[in-house]
Amino acid sequence: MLAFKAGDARAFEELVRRHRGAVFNFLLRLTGQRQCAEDLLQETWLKVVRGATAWEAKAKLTTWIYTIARNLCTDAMRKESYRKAESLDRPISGEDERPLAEAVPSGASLPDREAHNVSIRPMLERALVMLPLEQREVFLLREHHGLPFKEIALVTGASENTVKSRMRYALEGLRRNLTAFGVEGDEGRAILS
Amino acid sequence: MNTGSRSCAFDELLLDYAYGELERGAALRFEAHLSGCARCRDALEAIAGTRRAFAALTPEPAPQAGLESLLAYARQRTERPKAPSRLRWLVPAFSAGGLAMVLVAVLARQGDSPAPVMPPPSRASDMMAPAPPTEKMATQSGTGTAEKLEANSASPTLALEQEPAVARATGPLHRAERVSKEEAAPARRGGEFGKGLESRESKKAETLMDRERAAGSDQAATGRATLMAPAGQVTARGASAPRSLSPMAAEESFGAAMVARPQSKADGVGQEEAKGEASEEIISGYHMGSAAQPEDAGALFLKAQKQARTGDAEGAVASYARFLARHPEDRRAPEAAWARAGLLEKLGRASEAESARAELLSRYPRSTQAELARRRIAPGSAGAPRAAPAAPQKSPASPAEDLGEAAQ
Repeated sequence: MLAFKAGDARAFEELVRRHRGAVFNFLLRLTGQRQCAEDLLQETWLKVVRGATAWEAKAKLTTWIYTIARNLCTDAMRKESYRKAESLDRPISGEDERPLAEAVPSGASLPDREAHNVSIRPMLERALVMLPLEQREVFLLREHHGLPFKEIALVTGASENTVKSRMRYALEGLRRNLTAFGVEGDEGRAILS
Repeated sequence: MNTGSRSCAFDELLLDYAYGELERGAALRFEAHLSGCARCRDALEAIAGTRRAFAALTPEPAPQAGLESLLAYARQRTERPKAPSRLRWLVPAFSAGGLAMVLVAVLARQGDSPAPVMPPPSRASDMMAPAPPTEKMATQSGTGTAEKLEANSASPTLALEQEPAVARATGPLHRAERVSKEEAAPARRGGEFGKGLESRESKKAETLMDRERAAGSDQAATGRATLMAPAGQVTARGASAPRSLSPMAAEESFGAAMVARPQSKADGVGQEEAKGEASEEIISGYHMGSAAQPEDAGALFLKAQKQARTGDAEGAVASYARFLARHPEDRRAPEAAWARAGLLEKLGRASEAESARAELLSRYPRSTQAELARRRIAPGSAGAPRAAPAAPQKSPASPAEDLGEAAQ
């Protein structure tokens, strides 16, 4: 980032290569809408470019980028009714238009774990998108992007204790949602193990 | 064993332990607690199960759409020149100024035909952006802007204006045309033309000065002397300038005129041309100011000429001597030395005249006057220098010639 600030455009390309995918997945899981996530992704990196001169090395770069992405997403979801996506009747991705309830695997045995993961993926996405936004963002940043709770507190602007509290609620909520989708008992054991 | 209890003192550490954020000592203590706390083990297993489940939610590749435009945008940002915002106004200012100068140059070239009536030179500076709202501001900013123009002379726009023929034709040519139509008032005009005019202009100037001589116009002669003064001492700006302009103010005004004359920085010739653009009012103002400073080269030279013309040979000899002492590098010095020698001879001071010629030969051996002196001095004379080379560089025998040849 410092190299980019100094006028090295290639440094920015390297920066994008490293972090663009992760930021996209964060936005995708956070919004639950691919098109919205793509728009926010571009907006986030444009902000990174514009704000590069103001960035100071004392702040961790990933923390800064995720903060931008998170704030953009929050604003977008406030303005638009993206929360509609939280309805169980709306598919999360364009590939699988089936309602989540239909995507939940039956009690039949599964051929292999990978195929099982593919089939369970929509359920996970749905379970995730059902969480309140503040719990979802904390879970994603901790579980999928490896940010410590302390940094998540910086990204979200909440205290570290609040972040941990949200994380606990998020984990409980996810487990509850999966159970609601019929993923429980022996089957749930199979899924979760 | 805490199995079945609603809460545990280690609850707060569950998340930190599950995500590896506990310090080593705290982690060991927590693990020791786990062995005896079924509730914490179950809670930890629930977290691990959820994490395992969501491990199936693998990352998706980021879309390629927008990537190229993003990188192009970043490159554009890094390549953008970082001009200090406070200086940004200079860019349009120089652009407008350059445009104004090109316009003046083109108009001046068109002015080669006798008919056109050109705007006064001051208009060119008025066209500069930002335009000076008052005469005072113009004089204050003039010199500085001229320096800026000089600093930017390498730009393509100004390089165009530095083409000699165009550049030199800019102001003086127009002025020559205008003044030639106004020769009916030679006392007011004087020889306004700088010694660096193009040959056509210099012929006009020569004609004008001949008429001045015929009319015996002291004021006109003084005006010419003013224009012969070293660069920066003559004002060249503004018909509305006060008549009693001081030399310093005149110098500032000269700077304002320089703004509209990109070529004037090139050499002394250009500066002389700038003087040629001086309006009559300013000249009068400087004229008054210069009267208090007779040691100025141009004024001193003209004073000597005037004294010689009016029969004050002694005074002329003294003035020429002072001129030579103070301005030995002035290009009129050979002429002054030659004139002084002639006056000394006229006064019957032959030996001094011979010394004067010898000095002329010694100091200005390549001048036309030196060649004349060489012919006057008998071969073998003590004052004659040994085998002084013929002068390939002509020096004018008279101010009129001087004016005509300087630009060539």
